[in-house]
Amino acid sequence: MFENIPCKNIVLETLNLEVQVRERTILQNISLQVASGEILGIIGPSGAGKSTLLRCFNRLSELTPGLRVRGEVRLMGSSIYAPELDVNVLRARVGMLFQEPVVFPVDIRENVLFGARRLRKLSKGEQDELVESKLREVALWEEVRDRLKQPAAKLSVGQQQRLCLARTLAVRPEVLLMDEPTSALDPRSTSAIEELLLEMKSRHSIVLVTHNLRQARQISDRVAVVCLRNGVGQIVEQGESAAVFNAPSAPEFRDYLGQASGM
Amino acid sequence: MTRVLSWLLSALAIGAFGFLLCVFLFQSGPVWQSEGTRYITGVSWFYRQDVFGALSLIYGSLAVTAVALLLAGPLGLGAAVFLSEYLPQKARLALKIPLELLAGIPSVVFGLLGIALLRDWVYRTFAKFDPLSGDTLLTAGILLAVMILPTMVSLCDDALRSVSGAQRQAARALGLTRAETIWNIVLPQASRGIASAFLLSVGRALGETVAVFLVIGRQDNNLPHPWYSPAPLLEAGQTLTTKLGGAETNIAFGDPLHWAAIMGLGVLLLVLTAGATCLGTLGRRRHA
Repeated sequence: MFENIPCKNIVLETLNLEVQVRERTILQNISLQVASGEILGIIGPSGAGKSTLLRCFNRLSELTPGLRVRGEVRLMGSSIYAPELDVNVLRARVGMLFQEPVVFPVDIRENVLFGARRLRKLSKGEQDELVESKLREVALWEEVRDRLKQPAAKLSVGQQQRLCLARTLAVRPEVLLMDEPTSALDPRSTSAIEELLLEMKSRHSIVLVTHNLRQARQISDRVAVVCLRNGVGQIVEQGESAAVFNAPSAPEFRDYLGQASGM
Repeated sequence: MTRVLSWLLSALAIGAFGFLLCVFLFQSGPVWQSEGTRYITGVSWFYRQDVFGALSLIYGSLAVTAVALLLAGPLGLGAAVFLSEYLPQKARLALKIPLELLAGIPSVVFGLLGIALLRDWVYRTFAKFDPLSGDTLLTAGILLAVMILPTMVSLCDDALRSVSGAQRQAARALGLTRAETIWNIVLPQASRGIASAFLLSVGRALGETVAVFLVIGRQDNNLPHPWYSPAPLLEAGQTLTTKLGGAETNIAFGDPLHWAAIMGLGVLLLVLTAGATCLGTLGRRRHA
């Protein structure tokens, strides 16, 4: 099950990760690796713990009361649970995009600068530059360049999600975590985000939780399948996307594929 | 149907308030005729000479309310931030229930506590300013602060909780600390609700009678010289409500002009409290 990726830099990896809610184990034996420049898809049925797993990678899991994480998560080779590590610095290095776009109730420009401005001092010129470059990076610049001072909430949902991505990119994360980033979006916005991910993966490693099997197959380089086994979420299969989808071996995954295609 | 009903009910409520105001305005008619605007701007109130100037009472009410708000505002908001943002959910609920019970304690009980504990404390603490007694506007203000604090905390906590968890999570995921998230995300978005918590507390403080009555000293015609001097805070004073709650109200009933002056205080009180409460409620509704 453990698969080494030769000749590539491992950016993020977990070893025997286990998550408990109060006394109940909800995830166990999670070992996976994300190499630089790749998209790792995490797929599986609802309720298997995919989103919880994702939140272990930036320790956002700690905001959920009663959740306990054991095992190891390493970013660039060093443990993110090391006592001397500043968790807020970690969260800036590991960006996250949520299922529903969460824009802050300020204008578009302020949204982009929100996280970046507290990490480094920016002059007015640098701010303008950062706003433009990040909005260009998410292909939103042309649409909003004339209304940067307007409330971000006025944008369409698809635009809001791209704005959230720009805001995350502005803090220069090494890894991007995406929790079903397109499930609230229409097909056009979805493909816009997918194109962005493919374009960005050379600069940021991406972990993509998705329910959309077509998406997982088309844009992730490798996938990890998280399913319930004996009532506990585990990785039942992982590998190159094409191989996993063409020859699914784990019975849980086959069931899931059957259900998904039957729907 | 619900629309019609809710319109009907709010029309009924506004009608009832309007009726009340009309009764007070009508009964206070003679004093407006005899005193005119001097009724509000006049600095002295001597009913035996038929001189009715309510300014010192308005001042008393506003001063006491300001002290209460200045103390209970920051403290209440701080406690609400702690409750809503730092305590785990269970502890929060465990604290909120007794807090709301506290808000239901009869105000005369607070008044008694004020006499038993607060009066002497004020007298001793401010001894170097040589107050005549512990019955002062400041004492009344502090007591009111204690009384409105539970409401303040509870309403501010509601306002903070109404900010969605997704906003907090998104801010934390960007690497903002908890304090930065509160400062940059939660407080700005809760500001409307917090403002209405303040206004509703003002309404409550302005209308409070018994507790204030017991510790304020009930000294008429006490105004600051110059107007910004804090000196009267350490002197006995009088508010609209303590004037109305006193013995003079019963004496007044026989004399049309005196009675009109008393009812006029009722008009002022109604307008002030209704104003604060209406503004507060509007903000609250728009916020939600």
